[in-house]
Amino acid sequence: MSVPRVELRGVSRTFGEVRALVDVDVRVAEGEKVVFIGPSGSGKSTLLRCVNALEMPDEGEVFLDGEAVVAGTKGIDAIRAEVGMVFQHFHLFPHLTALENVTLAPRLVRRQADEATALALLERVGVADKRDVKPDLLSGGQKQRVAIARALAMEPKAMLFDEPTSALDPEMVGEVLAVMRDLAAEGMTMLVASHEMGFAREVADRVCFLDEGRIVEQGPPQQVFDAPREARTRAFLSMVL
Amino acid sequence: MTRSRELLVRVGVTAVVFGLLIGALALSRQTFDFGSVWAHRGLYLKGLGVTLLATVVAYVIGLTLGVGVALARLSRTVWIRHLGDLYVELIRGTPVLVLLLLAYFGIAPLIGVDDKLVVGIVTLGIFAAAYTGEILRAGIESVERGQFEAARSLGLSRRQTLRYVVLPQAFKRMIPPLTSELIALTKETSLLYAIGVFELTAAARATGAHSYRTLEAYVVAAGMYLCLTIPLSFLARHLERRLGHEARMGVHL
Repeated sequence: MSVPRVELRGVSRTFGEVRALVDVDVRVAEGEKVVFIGPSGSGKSTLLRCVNALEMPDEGEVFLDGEAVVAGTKGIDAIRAEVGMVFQHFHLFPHLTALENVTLAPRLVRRQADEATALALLERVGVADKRDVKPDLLSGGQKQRVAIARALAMEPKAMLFDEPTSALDPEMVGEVLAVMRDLAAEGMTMLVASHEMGFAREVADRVCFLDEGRIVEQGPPQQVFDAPREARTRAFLSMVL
Repeated sequence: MTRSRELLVRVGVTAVVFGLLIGALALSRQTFDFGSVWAHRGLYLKGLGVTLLATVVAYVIGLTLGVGVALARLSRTVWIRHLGDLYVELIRGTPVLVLLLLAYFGIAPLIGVDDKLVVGIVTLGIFAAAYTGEILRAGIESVERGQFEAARSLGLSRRQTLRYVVLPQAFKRMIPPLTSELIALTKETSLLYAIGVFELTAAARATGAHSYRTLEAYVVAAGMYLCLTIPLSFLARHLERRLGHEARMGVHL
């Protein structure tokens, strides 16, 4: 098997008394879409945040294309530049316009100030008409789409989505999922923490169910959703479906 | 309440307050004679010049040192952080007057410096740095953690994150407290009088002592301080409005 795009090997992370991740192994191949489901506090976010070193594992290692994220030779900044991240609460830069949000990182990190590329990205997520608007004046759905464009501007090797629709009004969830669906169709490697079971069923190559920091069960969506093997998975699904 | 109506109320209240003050003075049968102040106008102007110079230079020193204090207090290294904490606690916890006396009569002779003005200004700058440092630190820390994480997740370095993401947002929140500090410093320069610097307060005292028109002498000095500080308040409010893109609703208790 070729080198996985993203790999977590024996990763554990503890916050005080809370064991957020316990000896987690995950391999995500290039172009694969993995959706992480599970109750709040199950470790989904921490898992994603370990991939780009926003969280440092207490034990274990994380690799991007075989390169160690933390102790590697590239350095954490360079690795982060290669992994896109979309947050639950958007975290757009409020002092910059939509377009400037997208161009900031390429300009500073890659030394390329290509406005046409940035505009094309805004076009792609359907908010090109908001290019000169500050985030305050955007709806939640528009903010999240700008945030996706901002992450894509660095031409990432993989995208992390940390509950990207959980802070949205219901009528705006669809527009963000549509953008993510397009991205999946284009072959982007995606790790998604989400409660959107419909999206997981439709887009995921694999669904991982986490509980109390461990991967309890994983497999193709049909298997995990329709014929879960573990009692805990069944209990969780019966509550959310 | 409409803006124009609010302005009317403000002007009215100001007029009443001043009317009462002047009325009270009139009842006291005090006669006023600003002739002696006018005769000493040269002293006042000289004093005002020193006050202005001391304020500006001490503020610049305070801001410069303050950046260092803020960076120290935000440092990832424990002992540097602790140095910053110590600085703020020691300097902020001591009265400026004591610091000035200590610096001029205690420390300056040891290092062979005899210029009152220089010692005074540097001491005020060191004092101001404890406050500006805290203002800068609080401003930086007021920026949401997610902003930092979003910037880092895009590959920006710590320095770039600070320069292009955190500081632009922190800056406008720092303006009101930094202006307050400038106003406070303007007034604190009056303490330079204690180590013999001839600034505005010293000019008033000299005029009062010479002419026995003490009340007038200090009223004029107070007026001159207000002429410096009130425009600063207005400037701060103006800047705050212009830089603040988040429209604020006034909160009234």
